[in-house]
Amino acid sequence: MVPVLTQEEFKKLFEAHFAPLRNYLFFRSGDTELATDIAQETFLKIWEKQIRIKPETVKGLLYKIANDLFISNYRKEQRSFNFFNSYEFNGTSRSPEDEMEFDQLKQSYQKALGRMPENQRTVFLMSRVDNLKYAEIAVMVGISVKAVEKRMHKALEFLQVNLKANE
Amino acid sequence: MSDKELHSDSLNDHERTLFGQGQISWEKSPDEVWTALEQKISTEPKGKVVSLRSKWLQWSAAAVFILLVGLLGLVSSYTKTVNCLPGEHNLATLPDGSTVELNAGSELVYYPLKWKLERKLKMEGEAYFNVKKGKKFQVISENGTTQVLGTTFNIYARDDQYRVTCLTGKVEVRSGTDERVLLLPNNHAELEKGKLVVKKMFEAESATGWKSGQFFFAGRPLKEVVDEIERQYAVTIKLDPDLDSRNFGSNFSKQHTVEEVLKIVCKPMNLKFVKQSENVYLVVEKS
Repeated sequence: MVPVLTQEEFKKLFEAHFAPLRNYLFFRSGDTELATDIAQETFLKIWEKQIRIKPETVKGLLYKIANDLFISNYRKEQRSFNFFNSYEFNGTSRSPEDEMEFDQLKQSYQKALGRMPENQRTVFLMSRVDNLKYAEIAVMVGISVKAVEKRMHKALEFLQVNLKANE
Repeated sequence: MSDKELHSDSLNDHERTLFGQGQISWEKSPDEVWTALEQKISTEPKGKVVSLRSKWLQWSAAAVFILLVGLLGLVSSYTKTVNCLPGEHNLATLPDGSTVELNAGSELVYYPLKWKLERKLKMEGEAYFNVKKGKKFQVISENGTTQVLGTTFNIYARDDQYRVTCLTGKVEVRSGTDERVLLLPNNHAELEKGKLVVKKMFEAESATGWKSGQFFFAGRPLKEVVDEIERQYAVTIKLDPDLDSRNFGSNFSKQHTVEEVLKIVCKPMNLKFVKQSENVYLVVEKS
């Protein structure tokens, strides 16, 4: 007999994984609304199917479902990736000159991120925005740690080349 | 080659300024999402929830919609036509069991799939209707519309003529100019110069005599009489146009041959007919 998923367990699962999962979807799509939708749908699926939660595998499962939803339904819609449109900076005050420099920097990063291959960009943002360890990223994306390292390396290389070109 | 060699310090500085110091601006907080989720899982614990954002679903919904509209169009435009050729009499039975007897050279068009919703048909020529009781029953012809609930009546709709005779029940007749009259049994309405004229004491049998092969003409133009003979016997009769509007008052029965009938018609009017070839006759004035 498979024990069913109780609402309490489900809530715990949601609290632990919703935020990083949604961030991950945003890093992939660059669309906050879409990321929220898919993340919500992912949890609904888990609930509907009454999947038994095993702590070792649940993370991989969540990201697998989210990935499948993303790929089968939304990937076809090609959208431009505008990271900074949905990213707010904490209210540190800057001098006008610094502000200008900061804006310029933002713009060149925006451009570079928009052109960066999706798999590199996702890994890069997971590492930099969410401060995730390579091992954690590997589980979420479903690749090996080596592959994460490789993608990070490529992303940084890409940034360096592209930011220079923009200057 | 390690990261440190490849990437200058400035890149790392930039990254530090740009990432990890802000937050993503979400439209909904996790709490809000949870509230929505909680509602869904408590109201329909096992139901299937599909987001409408799903392209696939949108497309299939659109496809189903188009299919339905198409089907509806198909259903509503599907017609059945009953033709009655010259020399014939036809009996058509409509989906509700109402019957229509068609006189020679008449046509009936109706929508069998829509019949349950709307008893409406088009008829040109002459026909006798026996309508089963039920919803409004409409007969549309070029020069008028007749509308009943359940009765028997006869319609003659040829050229610019429109005549309706009511045998039982009640019949509403509307002309092309939207003039309306209500007919009771043995009433007869006829279009005369675009106006509906009602005759109260009408011998209804004279209007439906055609069903039993009896044709009555009381002061009808000769052209009309000749046309009727053409239709009943499937022949061609050439009539001098000068004679078209000459009035004729008599009757004939289909038991006679076409030549006998022509004789009946010609004699009192001082006319004669010449057989030109098989089934072609010429009617002229006796010189």
